[in-house]
Amino acid sequence: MKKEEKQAIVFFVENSFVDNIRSKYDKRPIKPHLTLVYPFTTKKNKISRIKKFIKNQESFDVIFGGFSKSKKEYYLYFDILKNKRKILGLHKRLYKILGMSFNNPDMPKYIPHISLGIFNSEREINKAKQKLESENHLVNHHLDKISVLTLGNGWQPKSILNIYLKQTNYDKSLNSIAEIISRGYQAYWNLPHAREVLNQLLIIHPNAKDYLKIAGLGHDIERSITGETDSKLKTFGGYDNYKEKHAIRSAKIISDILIKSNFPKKEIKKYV
Amino acid sequence: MIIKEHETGGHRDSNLIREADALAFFNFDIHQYIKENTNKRTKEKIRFTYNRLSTKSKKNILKIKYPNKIKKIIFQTIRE
Repeated sequence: MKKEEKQAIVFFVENSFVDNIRSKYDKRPIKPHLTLVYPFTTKKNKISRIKKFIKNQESFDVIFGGFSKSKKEYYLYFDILKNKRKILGLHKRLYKILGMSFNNPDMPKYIPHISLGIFNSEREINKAKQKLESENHLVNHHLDKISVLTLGNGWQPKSILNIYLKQTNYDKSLNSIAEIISRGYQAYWNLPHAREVLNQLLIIHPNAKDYLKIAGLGHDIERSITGETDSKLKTFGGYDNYKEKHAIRSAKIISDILIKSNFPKKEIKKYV
Repeated sequence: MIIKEHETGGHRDSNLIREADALAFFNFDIHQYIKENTNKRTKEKIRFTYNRLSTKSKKNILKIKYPNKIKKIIFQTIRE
């Protein structure tokens, strides 16, 4: 790596709501992300210390909600609603490992956020902000991976080093559920639906515990395995019978996944 | 009991999943559903799902900005 190449430590956020806004307002060649450290250049030994630090951190959920504007220029931010303190903690520790102080000419004080757009005037940014605020959208992101980027021109990543945080039982279960759905029947429909239910759950109940979030993602899991949908109602003797069997089968599948992930029996009983 | 009761509701937790499920339909799924199903089936699904929503969510979904085709079928269905 050349000495002058800038680096950043970020985590990427995959979400259709964020993607839609970004495609409209931010054309930079980098996916939606939250920046923890920028800019820096460092040597290999510091990177291995960063790796070790990140691998020892337990994964957690970050909820984004609310919008603000940058102090300089016209950047629209998607702010953190839940676990902002944990993000600030990561930010501080990473800077400490790198032996640096936060010094970003574009941002006088570190504000953890996802940039949703860059605008040309106060009027434009206010209009977009007002529109988004009327929709009151929240986005949940499960932070289980942090990336070290080497950047080219205009934030174009030239290389990406992904570092995974420590997996909890909750992570293992969520990953298993998402994998089953993504490999199962009608994944194009079932996976986005499952993720959206989880997202809606966090909008109506931002402090939902892990067991509820697992239920949100996995409540329809049997459809991915059996491929049966409500389009074949006659087989089940009506809509209510179909729905009942569907719910019982989903509960059993989730229970099996949780057993494999070593969840306590008491927790599992909540699902079935 | 949460997943077992997520279609019927009955307890606080299962009610939350049922509500989130219905909100996901109106906020997200409906755009794809309308493309894959007949008008008759879409109306049945809208009616079924709308009736699962809390009073507050029923009001909120009416504020969602839909394309005209979706807006029309939702309003027609819930007024029938």
